[in-house]
Amino acid sequence: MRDFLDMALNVAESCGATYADIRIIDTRNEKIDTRNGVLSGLERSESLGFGVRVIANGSWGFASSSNLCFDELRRVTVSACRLAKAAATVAGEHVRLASEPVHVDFWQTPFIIDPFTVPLQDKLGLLLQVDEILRHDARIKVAQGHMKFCRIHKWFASSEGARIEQVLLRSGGGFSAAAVDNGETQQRSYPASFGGQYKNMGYEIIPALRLPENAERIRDEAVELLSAPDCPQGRRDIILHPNQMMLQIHESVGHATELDRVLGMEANYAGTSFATTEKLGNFRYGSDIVNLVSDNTVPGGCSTAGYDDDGVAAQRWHIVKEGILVGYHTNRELAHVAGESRSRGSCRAEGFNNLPITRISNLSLMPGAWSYEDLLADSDGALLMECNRSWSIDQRRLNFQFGCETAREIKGGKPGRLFRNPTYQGITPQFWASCDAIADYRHWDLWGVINCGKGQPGQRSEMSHGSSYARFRNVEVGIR
Amino acid sequence: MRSREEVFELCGRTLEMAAGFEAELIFEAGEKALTRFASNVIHQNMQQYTESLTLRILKDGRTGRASTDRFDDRSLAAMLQTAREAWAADAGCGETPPLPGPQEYKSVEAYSLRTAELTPEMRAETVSRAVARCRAAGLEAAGIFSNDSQQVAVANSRGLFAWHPATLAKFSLTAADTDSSGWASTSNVDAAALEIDSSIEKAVHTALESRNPQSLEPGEYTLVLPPEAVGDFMYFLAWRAFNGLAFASGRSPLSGRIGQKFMGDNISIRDDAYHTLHTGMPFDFEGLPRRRVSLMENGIAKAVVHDSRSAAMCDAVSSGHALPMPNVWGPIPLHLVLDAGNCSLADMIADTEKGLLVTHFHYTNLVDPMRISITGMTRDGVFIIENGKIVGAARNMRFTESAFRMLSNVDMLGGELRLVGGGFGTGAVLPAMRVRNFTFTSGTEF
Repeated sequence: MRDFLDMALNVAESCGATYADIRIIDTRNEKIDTRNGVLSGLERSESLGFGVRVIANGSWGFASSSNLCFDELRRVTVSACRLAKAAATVAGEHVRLASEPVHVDFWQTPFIIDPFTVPLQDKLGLLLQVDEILRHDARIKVAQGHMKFCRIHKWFASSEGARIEQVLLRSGGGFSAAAVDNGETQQRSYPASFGGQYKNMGYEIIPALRLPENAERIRDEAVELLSAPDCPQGRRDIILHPNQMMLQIHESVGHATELDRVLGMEANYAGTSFATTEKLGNFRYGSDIVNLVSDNTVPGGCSTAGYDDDGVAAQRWHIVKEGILVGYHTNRELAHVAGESRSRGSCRAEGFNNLPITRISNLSLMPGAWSYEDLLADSDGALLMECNRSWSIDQRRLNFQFGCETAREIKGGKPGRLFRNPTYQGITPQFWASCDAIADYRHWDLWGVINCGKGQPGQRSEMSHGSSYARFRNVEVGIR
Repeated sequence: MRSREEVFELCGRTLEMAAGFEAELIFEAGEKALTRFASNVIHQNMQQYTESLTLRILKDGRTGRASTDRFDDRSLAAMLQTAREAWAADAGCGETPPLPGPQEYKSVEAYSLRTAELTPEMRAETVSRAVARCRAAGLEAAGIFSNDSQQVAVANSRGLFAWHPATLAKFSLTAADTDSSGWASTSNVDAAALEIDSSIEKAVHTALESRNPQSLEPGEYTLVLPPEAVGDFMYFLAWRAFNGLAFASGRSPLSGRIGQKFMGDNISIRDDAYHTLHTGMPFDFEGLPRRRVSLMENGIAKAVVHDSRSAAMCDAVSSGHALPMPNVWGPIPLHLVLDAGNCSLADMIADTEKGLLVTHFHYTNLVDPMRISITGMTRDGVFIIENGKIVGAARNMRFTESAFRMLSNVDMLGGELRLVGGGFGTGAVLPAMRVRNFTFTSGTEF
């Protein structure tokens, strides 16, 4: 592998590149889907390829290929240099990279059980066990189970001397039950919607999710939703379950604090951000109890790694501290715009064939001081919303409207009456300013996002968001 | 890119290795080049080449699937072994209809050498022109100029072989001021047919005209929507209403309601990969020819689309709308056409006493699947219409609206059809329309 790495860097230099890096990535995926008692999807894929990134004439160029051989490596590297020089004809200031120690290292995701050694029959057996419980009620018309496992083996080398080898492992799964009756359909998912819960770890996550143990409850809730009243309309206090806080953090803080978006680099596609750089250090993003921390070192996080795709070592830092905007997600190219001498290490690409771009890291709301029981006891009349169903936010990340699978009204310190089709809407800083209670660490967990789309051409990325239950006052609910 | 003969040889070699099974192969290859610009400079310039081969084997009601991007005999054998292991673990599902034999396909010309050979320097020159025009108008330019080539082949052990090469060139521009923005996009199989200059002018004009926006109260409005704004509603209908798998499981609003009225008399929707504005591949991912399907006629539900699995569940035949099998999504119509009316966008504005003209929508998502209720934001220009004239700009607003209700309230339909969204032949061919009583539920700060 060293020969490939060195050759790309040598060719880049001979073509006039002032900086070059290459990533060679070998990926193995397994995806298992069950539907109504049968195996409905089984994908096992392997891919190998490389991407070369250069700076020439002060601009970036990037090219990639799935054909890893010396001739193709030379062709692709020459192409990357040509692309950089073409970009330089419509350029501003030359790209300058924040300094980073030159790392020569090996890093891998800690795990107990390699999911690729677990027999397929065992995985299928577990999903079909859940499926059988779900379909015990005839009104469950679609029972689905999912597991996904991914191992990414990547080699990174740069013209600055970095040589980093990493093996990243991600595992997870979940299930859903769709109930249908009288022209109505309602769905419940566990542990989270859109495929379940994922972490960077081994197969040990699967038994820890306790999928069969939760199937009966989820099935019964899906059926109960069919005849539940619609979520009331108007303004209510709401408590968000951590599996919905994941989405709230992701959309209204995570993307808003990607520095490339802030600077307009996504203006033609996903949009920009209201959290502009003059607000850094003085803008009230939320109430005093709101502390949001990004952390690529946290065990289990879906963006946890030793290094990002700039070759920057993983770090932990505040994005929002005591309610004030204090940080961004940055890469080596843009760190200086935020007044920082070093990148935060938030530069990642999907696979070998995409250009690394600024990405949300594992961004989490720090736990508060409330016990969950005290929080409920103090929230009479509030709606407890759980499990995301839909999401939408404007192109500056201000006006959002999110939907959940369930809402339960809190009465006498307990979640009570069930409502279907709950939605809530807000303006990001006003919403976070209304956060007046966060449950403590006992209900805090990381929740994995494995389908975050960004960039042109579109790239998918993964990250986690940790949270406990959080309460927000006087929120508009029941929009339909 | 590999030639048809090379792909045929690769598929034949792999199918031979899988002897003893019914086997299906999907070969996909793509060469994508994209120049991306923002803040008046090119900040990303890239190209990528990928190819992959996916094998599905079937026997005794069981199926196994595996993929690889390495095509030497050893890698192909490893893929087969992985598929065999998956097959052995499958308990049998009864959802694997037999593979089809050789098929006849209509000819669809979707490849342009001019697009395939567009260079980084040519893209940069066009971007430079867009940036210069925006600078001259005091605006910031952001956008893309891309040229892609791809090929898809489906082959199986019953002698079926389908191959489709295609190209797509796309230019998109957002022109922005501090309190306004304008957007335009053009795409075509042939890069020479892109409407680049008119797109640049449209984005610049919209940005300049949407300056100084005023806040409006949420509520019901009459909207004039160009085809780009109509597209969002069509995609959700395609995914959830016209989907044969959702239909079979009772989760489509059309389930058990074929023949019932859902939309206005003036709304007819079909899936037609062979419409002159579509350039989609003439077969689906099972290798079956795509059929034209009438989905809504004068507002009445007529049919949904099927792959072989959903067809078996509904005692119907496949309409040639399969995605790669097996999958959890079901069949989706990728080539929608909504019948045109006879008005122009200018007619609609001139005929509107009080209403809004929307450029397009942003980040739309499904709120209620049985009503196809959708939420989303306006983007890149909302214009206030009074007494048949545009009199100013409005700040963006959020809508929450049912696609069925919206398409029941259309009182003017455009005579010109445009292809919007998608890529490589997917998308929707749509007219502009005027919609009464469209519901905005909240505003935002810009």
